[in-house]
Amino acid sequence: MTGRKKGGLLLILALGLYLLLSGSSSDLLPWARDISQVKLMRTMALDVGEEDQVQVTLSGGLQRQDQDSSDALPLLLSRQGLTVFGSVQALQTESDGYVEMGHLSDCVIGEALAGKGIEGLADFLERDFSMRLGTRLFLLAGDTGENALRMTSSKTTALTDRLEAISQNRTYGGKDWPFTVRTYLADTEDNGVSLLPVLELADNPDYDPEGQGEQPEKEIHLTGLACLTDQKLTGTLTGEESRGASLLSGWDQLDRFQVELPNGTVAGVRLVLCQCRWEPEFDEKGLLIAVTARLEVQGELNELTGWVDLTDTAVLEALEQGFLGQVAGLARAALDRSQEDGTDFLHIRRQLVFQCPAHSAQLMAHWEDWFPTVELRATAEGRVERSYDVDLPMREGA
Amino acid sequence: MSLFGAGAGHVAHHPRREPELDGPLTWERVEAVFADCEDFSHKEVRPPHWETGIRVCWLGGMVRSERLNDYVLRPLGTVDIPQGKRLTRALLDGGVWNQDAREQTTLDDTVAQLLEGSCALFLPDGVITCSVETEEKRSVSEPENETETKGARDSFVESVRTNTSLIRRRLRSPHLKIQRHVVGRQTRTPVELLWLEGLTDPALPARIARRLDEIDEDGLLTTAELEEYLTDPRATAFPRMLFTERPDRMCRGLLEGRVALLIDGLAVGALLPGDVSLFLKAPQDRSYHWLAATVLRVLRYVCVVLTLLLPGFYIAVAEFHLELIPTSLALSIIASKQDVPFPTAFEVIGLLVAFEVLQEAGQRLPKTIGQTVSIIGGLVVGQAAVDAKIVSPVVVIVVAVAGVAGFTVPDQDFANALRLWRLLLALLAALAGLFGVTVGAALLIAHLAGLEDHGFPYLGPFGTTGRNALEGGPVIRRPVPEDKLRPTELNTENWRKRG
Repeated sequence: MTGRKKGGLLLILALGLYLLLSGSSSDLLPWARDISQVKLMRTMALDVGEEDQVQVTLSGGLQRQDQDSSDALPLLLSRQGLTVFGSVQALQTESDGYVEMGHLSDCVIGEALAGKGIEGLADFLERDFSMRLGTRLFLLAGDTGENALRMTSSKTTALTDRLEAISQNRTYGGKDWPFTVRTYLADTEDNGVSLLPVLELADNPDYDPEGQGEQPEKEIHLTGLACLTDQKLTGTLTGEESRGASLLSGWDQLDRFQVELPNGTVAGVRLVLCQCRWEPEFDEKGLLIAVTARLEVQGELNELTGWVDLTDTAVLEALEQGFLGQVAGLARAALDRSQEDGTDFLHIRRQLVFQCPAHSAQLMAHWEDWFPTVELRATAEGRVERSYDVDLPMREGA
Repeated sequence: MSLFGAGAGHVAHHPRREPELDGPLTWERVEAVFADCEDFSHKEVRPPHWETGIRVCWLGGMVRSERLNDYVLRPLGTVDIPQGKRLTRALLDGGVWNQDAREQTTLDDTVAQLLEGSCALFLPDGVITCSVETEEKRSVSEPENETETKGARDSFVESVRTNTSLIRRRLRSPHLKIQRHVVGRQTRTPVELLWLEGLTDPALPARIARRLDEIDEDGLLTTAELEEYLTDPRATAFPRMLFTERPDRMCRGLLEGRVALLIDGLAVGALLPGDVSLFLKAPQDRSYHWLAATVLRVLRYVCVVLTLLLPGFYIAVAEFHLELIPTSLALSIIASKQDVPFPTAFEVIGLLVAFEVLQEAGQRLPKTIGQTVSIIGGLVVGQAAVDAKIVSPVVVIVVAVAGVAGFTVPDQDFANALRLWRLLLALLAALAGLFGVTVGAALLIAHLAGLEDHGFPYLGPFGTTGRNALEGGPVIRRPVPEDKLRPTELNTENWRKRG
């Protein structure tokens, strides 16, 4: 075969491959959209609109006008529609560039919409090709997502940045943020129950109503976890329950504890490692009678309000027992709440199936019957490390 | 007006006329051949007791006067040579003091010898030529393009004999064979073929010798004139012959089992067959520690991928696949493209072309001015273009990184081929995004895999299994004592490099 024929054949093969991969569509070449003509949307807020419609609000975050500065408020686009997709498409006409959803990193769901159910949103997130499974999900308590977007934006900050910071600060040890589209869909598929982090707006003390948008009107904080059953908000976990759920699920490894020692000194202990192992207990008939969550933790002593002799084993033991007792108490609070609500939001069944594959069939078949009556226990084992002995030089000097 | 000239199909083959000069070998005929040649010189010398003289002719400037005077003309004028029927024989047996005196019988050969710097003696019973050529040439100097900190500092010069001596001084082996061929109807350029007997595949020098003899060309003045005759196919931008100005590099190639070509008048030598790995090995790879050399070689391969794919990949992601860019980077790119009126593809391809223009301008100008042009072009014009919002800074960085990465390729011919393919891949990316880049890359690999040089596959080192794989392949440089075998794909007669 001559070189020219070979070249022709290669060209035909490449064309054939192209037609095959492109689905032989009439559009011969892919559709180009230059990066300079798009508006990257980074945060989406979803609320209940008028007449049971869905209101979608999109924010592009801070848009830098040049390399060094930002001098404009984040772009906000809002539309209502019967579906999330319909609303997003309608927003295309409101922007001077193509609304690009491929970089959506956060999705804030208003409490009212969560109460009605977010099946449509879940379906959109699952089906739409431009959506990322790594998009973080949040629930906003007591307000609308749109308000959260508007009131937390200024010329120097946007909700996206705050949510980014929350997700990075609350994880430890290189773990990913656990509340994403991926985990939401997986948890919902598992037993219809999933947890979402709850955000709340609070007044910003630095806000100046006469200002030029330098400071946002509201601040946003993480306050707990919301439980969604069958994609509807059924309850929220706050305080000990929320912390316990995080410990048991291994999400939040930056918890802090205050332990009172026998002489009245309070020790500040930081949790640096937490691993949970689930152990089922069956009776002779094969019935599940108890499930124990064994937490292996490690704390680090960060502060003492008074002097204690850290070389005294009795003091150290008291410190560790106090720390472990608090950890176990938090875990028990979460377990109790789960059983009270009758919702396995900790996905104990899934954990047991993974950790005890020999009982997986029984667990899968009878879990619904066993869960309300099974005894849920929590134990904590571990130690508190002293970061360094700050008293040592003083003692040596004396 | 024709931009590309007539195709080869329009010009019928016209074989060289043999012999080129017809007619008998006489003084008159030679004089006629060199009529209107100012440098054609002749003199009649009458040996003692002779009634007639002997005509001696030569080309001025081609001969060394001392040699002609002392070892040809003086013996002829002073030595008592008996005049008789066996005069030619008598001169060849010592009448003239010349190591390369030979009797000529044809006009073609005689003229060829005169053109190479011999003088011709027209005797009553025949013609003798004596080599009295001048040895005026540039002295051996340091290599300009292939510098090495810890290696030899000599480089080839324009004299083929000097170049063979540079090789001989390193390869003091009787197995080093040097075969002479003359190429060019008009230039009659000596081309010498070198190989190591008992090591190189014997079919290889035989095949190249045949191809050299088949070259029917007016002149051989540049490397491409030789390469394009000796390698197939021609429809590729990738070089198949490695041209080097370093004798030590040529010796390394000969020791690997390749053959070498030295061309009179060119200060470079050629090694063949060539493969991808040969063009990506730098001369200093053998001077550095094997770990450092390996890392540098890996870096070079990474740079090849970068220089080829980076502009195309950037166009593809910026125009077709925005989701692939990390969000913070995407925002940064968008900010940098504020007010730039051109689409990304136009920016990148335009800058690539501008980069080539600057490079070409820098090479055409004298060295000092060339550097200035590069600096002005690269920094001043580039910065001005960014400030004027004609191009975005990110595109400048992408094109600059691709360009600089291309400079890590040790062989200029190979780097030129990559430049062409880089532009092609950028065009394909502008057309069809990552699909275009993928198709282009697949075509490139298919093209490279299809290339052969005298039966040796271009990607041979990457496709070879067995003992070559044990030696670390083309990328890893193993410690010298462990690198015992020659490349498999060269079919060498002797596999072992060392015990």
